[in-house]
Amino acid sequence: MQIAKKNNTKTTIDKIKQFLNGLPPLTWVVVALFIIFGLISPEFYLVDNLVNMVRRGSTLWILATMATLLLISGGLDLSLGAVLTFSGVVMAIMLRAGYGPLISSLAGILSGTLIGALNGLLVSTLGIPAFIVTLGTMNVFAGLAVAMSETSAIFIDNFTMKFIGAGAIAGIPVPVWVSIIIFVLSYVIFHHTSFGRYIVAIGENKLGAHLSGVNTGFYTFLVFAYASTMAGIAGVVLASRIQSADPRVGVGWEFDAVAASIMGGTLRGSGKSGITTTIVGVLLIVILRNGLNIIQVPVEWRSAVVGVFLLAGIIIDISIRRRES
Amino acid sequence: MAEKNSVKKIGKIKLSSQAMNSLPRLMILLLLSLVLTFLSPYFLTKLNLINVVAMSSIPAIFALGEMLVVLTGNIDLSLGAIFSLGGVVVAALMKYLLVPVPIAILAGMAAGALMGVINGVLMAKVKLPSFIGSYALRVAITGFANAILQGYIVYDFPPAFRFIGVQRLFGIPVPIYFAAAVFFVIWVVLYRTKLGRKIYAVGANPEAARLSGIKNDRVIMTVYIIAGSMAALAGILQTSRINQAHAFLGDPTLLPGIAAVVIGGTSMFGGVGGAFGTIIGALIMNVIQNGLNLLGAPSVWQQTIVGGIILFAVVIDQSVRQATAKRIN
Repeated sequence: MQIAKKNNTKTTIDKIKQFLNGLPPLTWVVVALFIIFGLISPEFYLVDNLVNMVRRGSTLWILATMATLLLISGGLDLSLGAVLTFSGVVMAIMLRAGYGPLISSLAGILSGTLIGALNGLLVSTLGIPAFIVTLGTMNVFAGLAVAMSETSAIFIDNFTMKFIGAGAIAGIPVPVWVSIIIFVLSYVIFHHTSFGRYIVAIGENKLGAHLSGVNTGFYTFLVFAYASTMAGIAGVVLASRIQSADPRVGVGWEFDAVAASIMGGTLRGSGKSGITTTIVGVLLIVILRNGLNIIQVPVEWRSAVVGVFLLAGIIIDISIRRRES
Repeated sequence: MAEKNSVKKIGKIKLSSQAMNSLPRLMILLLLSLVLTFLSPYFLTKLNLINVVAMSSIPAIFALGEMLVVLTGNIDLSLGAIFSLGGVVVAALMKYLLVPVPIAILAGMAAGALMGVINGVLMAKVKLPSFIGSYALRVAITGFANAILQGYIVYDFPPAFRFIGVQRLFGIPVPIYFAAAVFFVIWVVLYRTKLGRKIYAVGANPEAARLSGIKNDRVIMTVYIIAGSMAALAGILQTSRINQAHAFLGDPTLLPGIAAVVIGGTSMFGGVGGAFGTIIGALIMNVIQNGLNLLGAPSVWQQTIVGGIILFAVVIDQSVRQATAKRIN
C-alpha cells in the first residue's frame, strides 16, 4: 500500500518534470523578469497594470500565433503589422460613412483576407521569396492606410465597437475572448485537420509534400489568407479597444510577432509544440516592454534594450535547438 | 597561356551577358525619362538632371552594398538602421567630442563595418535566417542610435563636413564622385578578384561552393562588412547634405534601396545580378521619385508607390525567369 503510494507520487513528479522539460527554455526568463520587475517597482503588480498587459498581449498573441503557422509552413509575413493597421482604418472609414458595425467590421476583416490572398498568390504561383513579397505589400498597405486616413487617427464612436473593445463577458475582456477563440480555432485546424498536417509537410519538405500529392501551392495560399484574416480581426478589435484607427498603430508588430513565435520555440522540434508555446514568447515581449516602462528606463534606451533582448532570445533558442539535434 | 586566354574569354562572356541583362533596364530608364520630358517642362533641364544624378548617388552607394549581400542569397534589413547610425556617430563625435572631420567620418564607417561583423556572425556562424537576424539587429541599432543622441536631432555641422555632401568639384556635386568611386571598387571586386567569383558561387549554389573549397562563412561575413560600411558612408553623406542627424534618418532608405537592387536585375535567390544593373536601378527609383515630385504627387502616396514598384519588379523578374527556364528546358 505504502509502496504503491510512493510510486504514485513519483510518477506525478516525473510528469511535472516532463512538463517542465517540454517548456521553451525562455519560460524561466519570463518568470525571472516577472519577479525582477515586481521587486524593482511594486507598481508592476497592480491589477490595472496586469490587465493592461493582458489587453496588449491579446493582440500580439493573435499575430504571433499566425506567425507561428506561417513559419511552420516555411513562410513569413512581414505585412501582418500593416494588416493590423489597414483593417482598422477600413473599418473606421466604413463606420464614418454610415455603415453598421457588422458590415464595417466585416469589411475590415475582408481587407485583411485580400492582402493575405495577394501575398499567398504571389508566393505560391510565382515562387517569389515570402519576405520580399510581404515587404512590398507591407509598404503598399501601410502607405494606403496613411493616405486613406489623411495621416490622422479616425475616431470611432459606436456602441457596439466600444463593447468589443472595452466590454467584458464573464469578467474576461472581450478582446481576450477573441484571442482565445482564434487560438482554439488555429489549434484545432493545426492538430486535427489535413490542412494542419499539410502545412507541417510543406514546411519540412516542400518537394516531398508535392511528390506525395499535396497541392502545395493551394495550401501555401490558404495559410497566408488565413493568417491575414485573423490579423484583420485583431486590427478591428485593436481599433475598437483604443477607440480610434491610427494609421501608424501597426508599425513594428510584424517583428514582435515573428520574434515571439521563434522565442516560443517554433523553429525547434517538428513544430508540434509551436502553437501552444508561442504564448511564452508573447509574455516575454509584453512583460519586457511594460516592465521597462514601469521601472522608468529612459525612453531613448528602451528600444535598444528590447532589440538586444529579442536578438539574444532568438540566438539562445536557435543555439539550444542546434545542440539538441 | 591557354588558361589565361580562357579566363579572358570568361570575363568577356560575363561582361556581355551583364550588358544584355542591363539593356532592357536601360531602355526602361530612357523610356521613363522620355515620358517625364513630355509631362513636365522642368525634367529635361541641366539643373534637374544633375539634381537627379546627385540625389541617386547616395541611394546608389547604399544599394551597391545591399546588392553584394543579395548576390550571396542573403538580405540585410538592418542597412537602413546602419545608415542612421553612420550619421549619428559622425554627428556625435564632431559636435560632442570635437573630433576632427576626417577621423569622425572614418569612425562612422567603422561603426557600420562593426554592425556588418555582427550581421556576419549572426548569419554565417549562428546561422540565423538573414531576414530574421538582420531585422532583429535593425531594432537594436536604431535603439542605440537613438540612445547616443538621447532622442535629439543634431544639426549645424562644420563647413569641412558639409563639403562632402553639398559642394561641387568641377561643377559636379561631390556625392557623385563618392558613388563613382564605390561603383568602381565594387565593380573591380566583383569581376576582377577571386572574392567576386566566390560571391557569385556562394549565391548560385552554396553547397557546391562549399564542396569546391570556398569558405562560405568568410564570404558572407565579408559582404555584410562591406555592405555595413557602405550604408554608413551613405548615411554620412546624407547627414552632410541635409545638415542634420537623427536615429530614424535611414528608415526611409531601406525599401527604395532593396527596390533598386531588384529592379537592377539582382535575383533575390542569389548568384545573378551585378553592379551596373544596381546603378540603373537606383537611377530608375530616383527618376520615378523626381517625376512624382515634379508632377505634384502627394507625399503620403510615395510609400505605397515604392512598395508597388517592388512588387511589380519582382513579379516581372520572376515571370521572365520562369519563362526563360521553360524555354531552355
